Amino acid sequence: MIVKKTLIVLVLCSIFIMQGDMTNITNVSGVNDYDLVIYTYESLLADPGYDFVEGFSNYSGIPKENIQLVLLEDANTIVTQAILEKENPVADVLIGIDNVLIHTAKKEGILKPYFPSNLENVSIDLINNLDPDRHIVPYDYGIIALWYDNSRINTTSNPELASLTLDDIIVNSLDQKLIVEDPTLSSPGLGFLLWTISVFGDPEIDFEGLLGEDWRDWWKSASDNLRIAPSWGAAFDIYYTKEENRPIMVSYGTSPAYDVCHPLWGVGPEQDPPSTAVVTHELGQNNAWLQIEGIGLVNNSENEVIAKQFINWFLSTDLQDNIAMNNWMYPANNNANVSECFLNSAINPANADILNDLISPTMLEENLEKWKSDWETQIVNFSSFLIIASTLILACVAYSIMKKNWKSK
Amino acid sequence: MRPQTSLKKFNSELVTNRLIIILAILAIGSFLLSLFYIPIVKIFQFAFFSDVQFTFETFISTIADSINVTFLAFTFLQAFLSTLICIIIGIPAGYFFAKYDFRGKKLIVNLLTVPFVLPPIVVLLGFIVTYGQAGWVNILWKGLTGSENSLISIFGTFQGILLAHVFYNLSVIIRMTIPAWQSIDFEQVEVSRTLGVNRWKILWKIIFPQIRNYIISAALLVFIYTFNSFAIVLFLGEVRFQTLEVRIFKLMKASLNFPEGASLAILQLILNTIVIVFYLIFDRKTRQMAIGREKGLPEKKLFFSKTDWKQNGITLGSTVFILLIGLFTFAPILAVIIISFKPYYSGISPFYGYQQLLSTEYMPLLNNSPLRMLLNTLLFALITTIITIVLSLLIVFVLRNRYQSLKKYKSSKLEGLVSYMIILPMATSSITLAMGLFLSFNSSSLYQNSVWFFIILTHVLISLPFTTRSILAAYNRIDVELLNVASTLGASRFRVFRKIEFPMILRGLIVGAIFSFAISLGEFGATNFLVRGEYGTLSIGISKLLLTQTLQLPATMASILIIITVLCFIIIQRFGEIELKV
Repeated sequence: MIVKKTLIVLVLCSIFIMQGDMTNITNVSGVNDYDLVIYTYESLLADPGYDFVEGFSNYSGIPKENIQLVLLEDANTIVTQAILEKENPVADVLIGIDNVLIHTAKKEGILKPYFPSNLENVSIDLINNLDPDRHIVPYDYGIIALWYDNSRINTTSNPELASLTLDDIIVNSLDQKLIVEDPTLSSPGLGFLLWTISVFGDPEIDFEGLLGEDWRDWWKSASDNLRIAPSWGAAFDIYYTKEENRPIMVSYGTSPAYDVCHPLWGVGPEQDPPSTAVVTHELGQNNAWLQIEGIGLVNNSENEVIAKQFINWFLSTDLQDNIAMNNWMYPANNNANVSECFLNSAINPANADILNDLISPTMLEENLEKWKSDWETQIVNFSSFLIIASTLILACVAYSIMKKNWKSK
Repeated sequence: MRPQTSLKKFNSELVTNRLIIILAILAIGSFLLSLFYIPIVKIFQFAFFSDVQFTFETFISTIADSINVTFLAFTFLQAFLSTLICIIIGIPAGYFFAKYDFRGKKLIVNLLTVPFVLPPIVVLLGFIVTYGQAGWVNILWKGLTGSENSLISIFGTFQGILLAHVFYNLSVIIRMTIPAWQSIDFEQVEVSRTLGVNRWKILWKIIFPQIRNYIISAALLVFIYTFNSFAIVLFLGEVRFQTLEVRIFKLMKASLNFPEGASLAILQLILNTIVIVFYLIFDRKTRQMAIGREKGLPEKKLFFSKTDWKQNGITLGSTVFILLIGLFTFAPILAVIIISFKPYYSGISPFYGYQQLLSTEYMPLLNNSPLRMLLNTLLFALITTIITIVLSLLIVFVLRNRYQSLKKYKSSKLEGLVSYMIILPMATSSITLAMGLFLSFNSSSLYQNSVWFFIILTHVLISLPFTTRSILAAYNRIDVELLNVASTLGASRFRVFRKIEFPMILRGLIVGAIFSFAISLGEFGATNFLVRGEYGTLSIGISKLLLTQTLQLPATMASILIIITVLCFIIIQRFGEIELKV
């Protein structure tokens, strides 16, 4: 009886709660009730943090509650999410698609070209390298670089770091100390993959690269020793945890500035920098992959006017002044403020030999998917011996089960 | 000869019964058809149709792709090895618990089962804080040996995945082999011993054949679980190791390669169905074997003796063995609870995690406040339980209606259909369930705005087989004659249900309900596939914070899940046996 009563009470309670939730849901279900929906990755302008939603709210007078900010794990997720919602778009603005992901985004037609009025303050090279058709326009840029913690590894302990090449990483077993991001999930990870491809080349498509070798060999040799993180954030957490013993990660040329100039834990420009970023020096050059991050308008967005206003504001110095010290990249707007400290500790892309020019947009578009899946094949070093072993075990088990079964009948 | 009047009444009863059965079949049928079978057809469409043309091309090329073959081999191999290790450790442990009697035995057996009922993501978190590079085991090892290298590395390694799977599934083997050992006909062993047969021969020729079916069905169960493992492999496997489940997820979500994902899902479905069918065969065999066996292994007291040093050796050895298993099982769970109180940097309170639960600081990252996630979790679980219970009651009524024992009643083809219709959902992995719903409804506005509805549906589909079996087991104990007598005496159909059937299946119902509540509470794979916006559950929250340094909040969330699941488990224990089976 007691059980019965409690059951009735439970059911009543749940109906009550459900009703509460229903009304709640109908209120929220108007995802379209927002004046602006923004998709971006979780670390955008996050450390120490500039609240750009509030910034835009102050600028435009749109209440903060009417702007929905959706943070996704990575730029890659922004694109896939937007593709899935293509027929019925939820977001109005996408922030964080870079010069590689834009190819996928363009192919799927999720973006609408837009020319912000203040684009003249952005270098034309940057715009054209990101997307000549302006489906997205640049808001920041920087080179991908290998970033290491000076207290755990340095040019004294590992002299090869001074003029590092990708081959040195294998020869000196630095791969055992390196964290990379999964290029199928993460944009800096994809940048680093393209870095190796443009350095070593790809004989399968007769692409020479710098050295005329095969990029697959490098990854094959390194695969057993690397840590592969799903995102930059996850990689940073491994890097930061001393016990993991992984003091090098694929990051940005601007990352040392974070350790020096950060208002809370930066050591300041007078001290020795706690960390160093390096590019690789094949053929005596300073080779690096340039990442340009862009902001774009979603095709068929419901709030196009406000979205355009937001993009204009995002390229204005009002926001761009915050890029260097909060997103730790070079702002795209030439007039934006960049602190002396930042300029002194970050690698300026102008001083690197940019590898991007080696891979033409059409080559990238044609091969990107194949490169990603080939990369996976190199990493998955599961020998055919194991495949045969598992087949044999399967056969034996099946046979003995069958035999026993017939016998017992 | 029956009196004429009674026959008439019987006929009208038969009609009502038919009507109820047909309505029930319609309800179950339309539910499964629209939310399970049509989505499965949708998956087939993606795998076998390019545009409108039927073709095997995608399917064949997907399966022949060397990387998919590799992942298939890995999926199989890790499942096989995990099962093997579980058996090697679990069978002796089962023997120990069957043979020896000591204080607190029941408690220990129950506690050993706890990891199995915990959500996978909680197990994963516990595993990382215990065995990770910065985990207890490695820190202890470095402290003891003074070496730079850690004892074990669980990320991107084969042994890491195996260890986690053994931890998760060991209890299944232990629990399922205890009745096996207890069912052994010990007289045969005694007889052969007096006849001078040597020990190994007794073990191999007399004992093993008697427990073989139990072992096989337990092993098949662990195989199914590990073959479909998702959360553990997703996080520990990095890219190198992927089960089919993880591979499908990545193809669907990261590459948006729907045809390839669908092809692999179908391959996985076929393999699962084969294993499930085998499992059902052996499970039936063990159930038959269990009937009429009362003798079993005589229980012995475990004690230390002052004179018998051999006995002391056995006692000490077994105690150490069980303690090690206990430590292996409990360290990760304890670790989670301790971490939830351990400030992640100095100067914050030990209750920081619990304070964070009420704050909105993590809101942008989690898309919702931790408190709302907790509410979502509980609410989803509650709704899931209600829907599951109603559906499984209907299924039980169709499969076991009280006229079955009478010669007059022929079970219709429709009813047979229902019993087959529910086997396939059992063999369908949670990712496949989610992806079917996703492919069928993803452009509907219901999906866009109220994804919670689909999340709950996948939870219902996942827990339905468990709940149905639990109620069915209770129903099978009802004496059919009792129902017939009641009916002959003039009780209406509803009255029979209310007065006889319902009270007698109540225990099974409660166990089933709590089980479905617990499953929904910790479900990760399907929820993670479908989740959008603010509808995340605690499992999703934990998974987002799992790889960060600030483990206090996820550990707090995990502790809450642990406490609720353990409570559920205790209630189940009070009302009956837990059905570990599929």
